[in-house]
Amino acid sequence: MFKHKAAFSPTASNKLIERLVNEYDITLRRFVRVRTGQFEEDDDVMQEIYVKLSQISDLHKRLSGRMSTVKNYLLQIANHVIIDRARRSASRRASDHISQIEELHFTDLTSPERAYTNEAILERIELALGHLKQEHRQAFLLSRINGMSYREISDQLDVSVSTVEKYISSALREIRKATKGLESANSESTL
Amino acid sequence: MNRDEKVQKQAAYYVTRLFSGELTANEEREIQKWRRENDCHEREFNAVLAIWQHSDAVYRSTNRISHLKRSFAFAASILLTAITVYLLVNALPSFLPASQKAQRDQIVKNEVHKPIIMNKTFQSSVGEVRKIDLPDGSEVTLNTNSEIAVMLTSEQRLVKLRRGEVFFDIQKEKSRPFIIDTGKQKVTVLGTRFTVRKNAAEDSIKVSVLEGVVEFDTRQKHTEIRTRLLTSGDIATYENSKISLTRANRNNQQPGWIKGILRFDNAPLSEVIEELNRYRTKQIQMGFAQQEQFRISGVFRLSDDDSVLNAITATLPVKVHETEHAIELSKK
Repeated sequence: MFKHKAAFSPTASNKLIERLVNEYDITLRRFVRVRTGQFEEDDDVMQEIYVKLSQISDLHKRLSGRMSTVKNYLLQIANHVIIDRARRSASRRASDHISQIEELHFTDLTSPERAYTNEAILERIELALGHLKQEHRQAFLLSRINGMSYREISDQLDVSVSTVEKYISSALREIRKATKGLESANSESTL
Repeated sequence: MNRDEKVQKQAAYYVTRLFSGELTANEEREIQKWRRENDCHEREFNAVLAIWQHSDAVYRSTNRISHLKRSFAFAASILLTAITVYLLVNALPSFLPASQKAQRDQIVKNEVHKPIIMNKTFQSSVGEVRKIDLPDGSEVTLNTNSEIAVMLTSEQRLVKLRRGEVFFDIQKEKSRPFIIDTGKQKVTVLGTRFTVRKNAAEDSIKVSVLEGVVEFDTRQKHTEIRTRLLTSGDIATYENSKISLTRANRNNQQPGWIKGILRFDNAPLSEVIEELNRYRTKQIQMGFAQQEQFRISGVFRLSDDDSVLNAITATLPVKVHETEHAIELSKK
């Protein structure tokens, strides 16, 4: 769909981004609203997604032959933008004596305490993964680690997309059970 | 199913749907309404989001991998699948273009028929840091006790790392890949700056990428080749036929030894000494087992031999005894 030679022209790249952003505008905005639980920020986030895409010099190359997963790719970028924004706002808050509750919500990811908790949580997640049914674990890891879309996973595991969603959501539930209590120090910071 | 379990199930399902990218307007309304209904709904939703977020980093830490191997033999197979491509979804997901896949299966060919521009071996002695400018504009810096063989042709730039640690600052050339061959592994440079370290004793290799993108191929068994893409901040360690990956704490920082500096950040004393010994002919020996609280932090000049030893004796209950052949550390 996208010609390779166009990759070297900045205008072509802008056109591509515009096309992507337009085509997936509704999907992305909905994702941003639900992901953040906010209703006013989606314009800002969309702007940042645009900027982020424009910084990827080989966008054409990355997307070529992967048109079926473009949406998944954009979601991941949107997700990173949201995390980045939360981090930035966390460091801003840290500089002007934030309230306890806000602090709990936006603990800096890079702080040593945070790193420790991350390690502990990761360990528990890995432990929980070990107890999952094989197909649940596979679906979950293919999504979270390999970054595959549900459609791709359904092709790989030879099950329907809705079954993939069932697998992933069961995996999430089991992991949630196994990590309960760990989040107390950090509240349920979404980062 | 009790109420808590119902809430958990609902939250897990909503988060799964969220990341499908297929949410309908109705679903959006339903989810937002559900979250506002009750504080515990919102909490649960966020908790599941947090798990989603955390779980893209599973199986990254070396320690945990070995721990896992011990605890769950069955995890091994999925581990390999898991690690194989996860760099693709790191920080910014990158999509491997089809054209590269075709090239992957080529392993370094030793026989080169093209005119040779450079074919030369470089070594550094113990304690020496040696910088070499290559004819293509790339800079290669050898750390202590290292050896490389450089072969430049009009078609290919090949460096064989025979021993030690090397920092590469590579001039990008689309048509002429830069390849580092360490024997069992091959590193192809798509980007620019990174270090490669070969540990002869343990037959392990460590690749740290500061900038750009690097392709890391390892030969499993005889024929199978595994490829990882590494990007800025990634550190890949290949050991016992397994690759483990970690992220650097500080991005885009040159390794300290280039400027003659060793940096330790709460490192176990045993590790500090092992590192120091790479630069010394007169070896330091630890006359006792490493204990958890014996840790060193600080920045030390390689040229100032005594500064680390002074720091060790000043901060830890340890004394130094120098003999003709070695420096011995013992507990006070």
